[in-house]
Amino acid sequence: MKQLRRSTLLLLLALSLAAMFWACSEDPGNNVASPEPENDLLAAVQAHQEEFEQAIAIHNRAVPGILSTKGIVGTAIGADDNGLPVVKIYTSGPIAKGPLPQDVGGLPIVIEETGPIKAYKGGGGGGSSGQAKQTPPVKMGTSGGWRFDLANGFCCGGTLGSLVQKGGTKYVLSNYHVLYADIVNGGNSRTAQAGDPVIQPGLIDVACNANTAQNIASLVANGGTLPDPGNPDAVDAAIASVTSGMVDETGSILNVGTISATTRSAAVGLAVKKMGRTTGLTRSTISGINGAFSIQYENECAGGASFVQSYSGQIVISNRRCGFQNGGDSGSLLVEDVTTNPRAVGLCFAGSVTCNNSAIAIANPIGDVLSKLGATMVGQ
Amino acid sequence: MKPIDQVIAERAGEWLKIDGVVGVYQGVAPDGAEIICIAVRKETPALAARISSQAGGHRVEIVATGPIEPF
Repeated sequence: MKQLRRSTLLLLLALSLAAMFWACSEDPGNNVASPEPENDLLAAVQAHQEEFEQAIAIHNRAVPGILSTKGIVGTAIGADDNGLPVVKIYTSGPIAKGPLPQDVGGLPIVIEETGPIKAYKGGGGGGSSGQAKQTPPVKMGTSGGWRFDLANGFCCGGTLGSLVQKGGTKYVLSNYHVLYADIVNGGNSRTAQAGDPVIQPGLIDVACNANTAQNIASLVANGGTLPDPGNPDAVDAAIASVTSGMVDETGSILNVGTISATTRSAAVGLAVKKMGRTTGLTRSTISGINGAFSIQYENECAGGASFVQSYSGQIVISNRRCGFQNGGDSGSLLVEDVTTNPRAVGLCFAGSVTCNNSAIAIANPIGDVLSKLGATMVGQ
Repeated sequence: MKPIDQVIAERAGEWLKIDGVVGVYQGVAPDGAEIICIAVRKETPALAARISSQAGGHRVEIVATGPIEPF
């Protein structure tokens, strides 16, 4: 539901710009030594570390929506004169206040007109983007979401992970929180309902405009598995019935290929990979098993607290600096890192929002997912 | 010594109630030993003091993963 990697790059870029502006905003004619205001600000910021951690988490959730507004070229967490966090929004030119929220999750907004931001020189790129609109039949591992996942000034989305089948019918597999989590009328006057379209790409990749995406599946009754209070084997999973002709029914995953119809269990040290909307095809190793976590969910896109779900038996994947998985990769299928017909291991759904060297990603064991859904993998 | 998964199953709830703990899982140390990892928002002396370095005969290590949220 949350995109982060691109935003992290923009965040770093924007922070660099912010630092440049701070450095360049001094009066060039004033050569008298100042009392080092930067150090005062740094000390003030360090004194509010907790606030900054919370602000970063709020900002991470809000980035896709912020960047979807025309004229906004970047956003970052900055500090006010008292060392408290603010959300900086960088624009290519003057921008009307109308499309902008008054605040971001309670954080004040500071708008700065930076002009357009361009990459100096990029690498060769390559590989197929998980964020692009696919030509039908679409492959899995690509951007997607609930067509109406737009509320509170933001839009949300995630990854359409893989295909499963039950009773001869094929379904897209993703997360509950990607497809079904809007459970209050709240900011968009609707909730996710059976029959609602699932689109590819998700709203976060079409500037929140569903008309430029395509309907590829439909929500179904009881298609989401949460909330599931008291169930130690709870999973954050969801299915949507495939629209005929719109999805590659071999279950092929972009940049991975056809997977195995069989699954395997997780083991510490197992090499794994996943294809997700944000970070693309990435590889890592399983660093933990039997994980127990309590995860807070929202009641709609950029909404309020909904419920806390307890999990046990979870798979933990090394996610150093969020290089393996990040916001928007939710719904990705975790598979063993082999070239031909990899077996599914888990369903990615959560992870560290602080991208440090100890960051982790979490996946539901695929056996629990399939058992809960009464489904099997589509593959060879 | 109890199996490590049993120790986690029995004590995860207790650890998760500690303010600042976001998860518990079974990992492997660089020396190959199975260990219990306590994932925390931020490593602090207070947390280190509350979390024993051993549980059920298994090593317990604190890992500063930061907050965990749905992606």
